[in-house]
Amino acid sequence: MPVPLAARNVSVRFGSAAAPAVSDVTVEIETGSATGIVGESGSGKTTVARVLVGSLEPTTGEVLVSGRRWAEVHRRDPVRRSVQMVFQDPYGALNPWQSARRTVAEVLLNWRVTDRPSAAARAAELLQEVGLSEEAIDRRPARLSGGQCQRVGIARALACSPAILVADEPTSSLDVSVQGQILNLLISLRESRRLALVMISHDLSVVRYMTDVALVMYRGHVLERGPTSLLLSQPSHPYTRALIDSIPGREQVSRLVDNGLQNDSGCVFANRCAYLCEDCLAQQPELGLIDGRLVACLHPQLVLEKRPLCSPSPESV
Amino acid sequence: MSPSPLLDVSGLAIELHGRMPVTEATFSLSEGSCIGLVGETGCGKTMTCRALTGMLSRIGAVACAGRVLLGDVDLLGLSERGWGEIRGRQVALVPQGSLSGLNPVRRVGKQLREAVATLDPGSDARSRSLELLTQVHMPNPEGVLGLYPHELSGGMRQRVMIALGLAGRPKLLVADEPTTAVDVTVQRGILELLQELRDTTGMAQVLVTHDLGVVQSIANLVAVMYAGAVVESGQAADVLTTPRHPYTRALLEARLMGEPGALIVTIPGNAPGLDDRPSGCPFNPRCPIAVKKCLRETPHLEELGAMHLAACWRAAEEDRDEGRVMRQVR
Repeated sequence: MPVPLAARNVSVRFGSAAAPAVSDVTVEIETGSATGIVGESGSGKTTVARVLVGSLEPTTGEVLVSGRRWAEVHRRDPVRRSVQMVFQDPYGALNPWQSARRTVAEVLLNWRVTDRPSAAARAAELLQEVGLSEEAIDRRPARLSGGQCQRVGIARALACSPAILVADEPTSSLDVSVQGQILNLLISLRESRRLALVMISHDLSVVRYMTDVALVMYRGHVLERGPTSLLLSQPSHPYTRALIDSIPGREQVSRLVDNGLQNDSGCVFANRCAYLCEDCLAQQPELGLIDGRLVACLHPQLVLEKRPLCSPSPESV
Repeated sequence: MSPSPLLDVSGLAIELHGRMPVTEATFSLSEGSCIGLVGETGCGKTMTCRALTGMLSRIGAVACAGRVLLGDVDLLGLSERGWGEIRGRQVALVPQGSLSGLNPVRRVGKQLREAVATLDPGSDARSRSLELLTQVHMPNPEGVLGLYPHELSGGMRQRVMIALGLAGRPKLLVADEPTTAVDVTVQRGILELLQELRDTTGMAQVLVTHDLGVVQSIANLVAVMYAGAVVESGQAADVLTTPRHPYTRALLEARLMGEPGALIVTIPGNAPGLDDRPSGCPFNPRCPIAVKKCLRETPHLEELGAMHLAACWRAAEEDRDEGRVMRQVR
């Protein structure tokens, strides 16, 4: 059995942009797994999501869905059903003129999951499964709350019984008290439907809570990849360390610097890194295995041991 | 706390087109302290900020009850002309959204000089602008003066917004969600800056946020708002460790601190909109411990501990029960 979804050495370059939006990303999504993609704005998280669901063709590299490239999968091929996406903006992702029921029924009919007479009833069942209250089923998005809209988005994704759900910041536009409800729903769906989850988020606590494996991205590169709990408890990349230390209320072990460095050939993180030394400017470090995870840094040991700086200091570079 | 606070908001209610976005906001703070105003979308945080900076009338809103005192000035009674003396000089606002707060077709330097000329006419506009940018730790302040807002990163724009707020050397800075749109690593720097400004200038700050972690890291006081009312307030360390209102408790539990994968404790339902606020306690439909009284009568803030206030019938009741027990023991 091939892995349900795998990206191999995927790079994406938009138009004539100088730097690729995503560079050499490799990730495998196994049945029932939960993978987190963490990073700040512009790090390429959403681009990876779009490549994974087949809505964007990578410039180089390939994405295999059940062992086949997205490009070879026909529009009507049932394999397409197996990967579905949940979007960041729950209002924007829904048709404002369609009720929740019609939104879901449309997918059921498009994919010929049910016939026309039973579509409405099946849609209602799905909407109940995701916890949308009875009276909300026939409302349009304008009369639903953000949390309810996100539930409709999830029901729509579930309509063709996917094996993998790619959720792009599913809770970042929701209030904290509603965020928990949506995360709980995803946790229980993962169990009841044996869904594999890909959670894209800038929020480390969400990724810590929801995923087993995580990728930390920065300016299109994966800087660290491994078991989520390991990455968050013992980060080995200076950027992962900095992200964790930036959570308000936490003691700060490392600092980000701004050395004003203009460097295109070296490590992508060089201009903010407190561990910078001359070798970092030669090229982007490859991902290498250390202590149970992959990390793209020349000094993972220093970061792991929370030792402050390597010498020479950034000023002398 | 000093006997007369710098800012004293009590029973503030705001009406907007026949609806009440704020029904009862009460909190106070003294010089050099920072209060975190916390709550979810639509709870009235931003409206309260508008009242503090005299910007209610611009959107057709009116403060219809309560009072807001800054020192001995009654802010609600000020005319637009009166506000000219106060706004920027006594109270300054750092509005939400750092991009929309700046004029996109004017260089940063010009915008700063304009603010300095209005608020601090005695000083040399150029050198004061530079000083302000240095004060907010802007990298390369000279160069930034000549740039347009779109040429700056989100974090740098937010620093410009804060610099504009500082132009009139205000005693009170009201910052509306200053770190919401920026990345976590940038957020850290902005929060450190606010803390530093408080330490060096002794200014007081009202920090509006929906993130309890932000409150924990820089505010010494907190006021939690729900559906237009402050429902709990007190020392941040106290409220965030021993919350008395069930809503504050739920917010703290929603922070994903537990073991991964376990179901998260959540508040059922949604916060009520402006048109469907329930009678009695606004939190009663979502409250796990509501009783009949909560459906009928609206609770008001009551002192439950040293400086710790909560508007909850059940919390007050708990205290009375404990008091009774203690008296019996004695």
